Amino acid sequence: MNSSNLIEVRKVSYKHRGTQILKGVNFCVNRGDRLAIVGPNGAGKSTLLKLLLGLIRCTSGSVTLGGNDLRMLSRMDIARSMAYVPQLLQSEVAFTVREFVAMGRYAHKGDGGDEAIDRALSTVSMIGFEHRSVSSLSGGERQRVCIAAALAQGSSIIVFDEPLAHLDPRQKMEVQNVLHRLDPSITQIVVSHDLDWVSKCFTRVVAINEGSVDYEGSVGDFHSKGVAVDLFGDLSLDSLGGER
Amino acid sequence: MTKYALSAAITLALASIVISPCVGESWISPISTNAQDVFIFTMIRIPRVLLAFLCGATLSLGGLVFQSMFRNPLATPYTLGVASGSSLAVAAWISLGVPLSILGVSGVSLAAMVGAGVSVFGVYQLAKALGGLASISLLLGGVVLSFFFSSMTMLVQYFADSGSIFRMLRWTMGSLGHADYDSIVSILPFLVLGFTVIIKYRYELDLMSIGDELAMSRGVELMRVRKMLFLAVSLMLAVVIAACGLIGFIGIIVPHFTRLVCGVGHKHKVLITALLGGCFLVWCDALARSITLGSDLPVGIITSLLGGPFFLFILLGKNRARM
Repeated sequence: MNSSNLIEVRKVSYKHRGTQILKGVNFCVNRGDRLAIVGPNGAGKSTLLKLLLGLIRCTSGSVTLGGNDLRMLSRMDIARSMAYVPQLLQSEVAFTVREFVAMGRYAHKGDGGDEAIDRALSTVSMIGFEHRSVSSLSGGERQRVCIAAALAQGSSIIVFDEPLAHLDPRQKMEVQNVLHRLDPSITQIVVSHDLDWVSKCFTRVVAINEGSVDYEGSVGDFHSKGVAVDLFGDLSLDSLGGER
Repeated sequence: MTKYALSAAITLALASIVISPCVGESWISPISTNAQDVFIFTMIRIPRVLLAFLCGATLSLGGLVFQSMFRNPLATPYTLGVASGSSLAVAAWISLGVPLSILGVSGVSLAAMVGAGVSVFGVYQLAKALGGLASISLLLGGVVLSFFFSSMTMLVQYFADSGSIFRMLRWTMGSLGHADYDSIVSILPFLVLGFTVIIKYRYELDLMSIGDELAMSRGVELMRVRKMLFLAVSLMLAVVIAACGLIGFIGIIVPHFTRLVCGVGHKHKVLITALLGGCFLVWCDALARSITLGSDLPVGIITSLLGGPFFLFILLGKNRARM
């Protein structure tokens, strides 16, 4: 690790109500990385994501953003550098698409709002939906609106929590296309279970298992060194007894 | 649309404040020269209308803030136990029968304020112990303390004489009958402070209403904002309960109505809710002092009688719009 890393996670451990969820996690994120965090359910991926976003604080170790300890930064400072796209919004959101995306400008006190919102909506192909209520949209459209809000935030890093979860194949394709089209200078950190997508669209992988980093490196090595098989087992149809 | 709603709410509020003092057991013209009419109009009805407006605005705003903060459309200003804390303190005060007032503030009002304060402090400490001011911790803390205070109130009532029980019951129905300029002046600084905090955080309420994690990731210092809003609403409620007892339903009907009229964003809704809440209580109180001769009907009865069907009407209208 060196000081040019955008995010550095150093010896991070996290304990919640007596349960050790993460232990001694180390990795770094470089500018422009497309980093996927993978691992089985309960491995600690979502907790790690919350730590990266500063939503929770680690029990020991540190997370630095641009060389600054996250604990020293205000929520506004973090928001100007890092945006968050949650899993599919399941709850009722009665705001219009434009109102929802405009909330992404909160950390900028509304500066350059309209232009940034229009640009973000155009990037995710949601122009024309501005006055629709978010609740009235399909899953894929909701997810694109969440991405637009993150883009409107103007951050150089976007963190996604399982952005394809609960979407049908067509909606998945729409969201994947939007993410693929994003400005390459934006650093993308994604928690995902979709190994095919990770293989095709990401440059680096951090594999978490039982709260520790099992692997950190390129996507190619993740497969060729058999880390994927170690983590998830052999997922081919043959091994699962599937019919061809 | 929202700007028109704001203009309409301001006009309605001004009209209500100007016209409603004329309404009562008898119509009094503002230009009447009859000494008795002038006295009733200026010394009884005007302060009463002003107090009703301030209390209605506060209760509506309290409901709106808690509904957004907890993302729960059924939250009311009393959800966090302020009402039950005040009720217990008032019940205890009445049953002790101490005739005391400090600086013109009656013992019952003081007891209500102390009860509300104790309740707010208790909920705050309980929520911190349960999980650091998370929405669910505050709600659980409020519910637990509400039940505790309610059962203690029943215990006090069980041992009280019938006269005291009637006074306790009467207080829980709410009344603006004791309104005077002094009571307005004494609550005004607290209300101005609370209103300022809520208006300052109106954009944060938008973000909080979509989820804690999203709000934080957009840059909201969630715990600080939640603490400030909780304290601001509680402070306002404490002084309002002390001034007029418990008045139900406003905190749930008015925010729902404004949401229907001007959407979910809080930019203008905070002000519109306060203005419409003020108008609602002003006219409920006008009705309360008009329909019975010689005495006022407790205004809490009117708000509940009007509020129940009105709320049902809003919900049915909402359902029809969805179909």
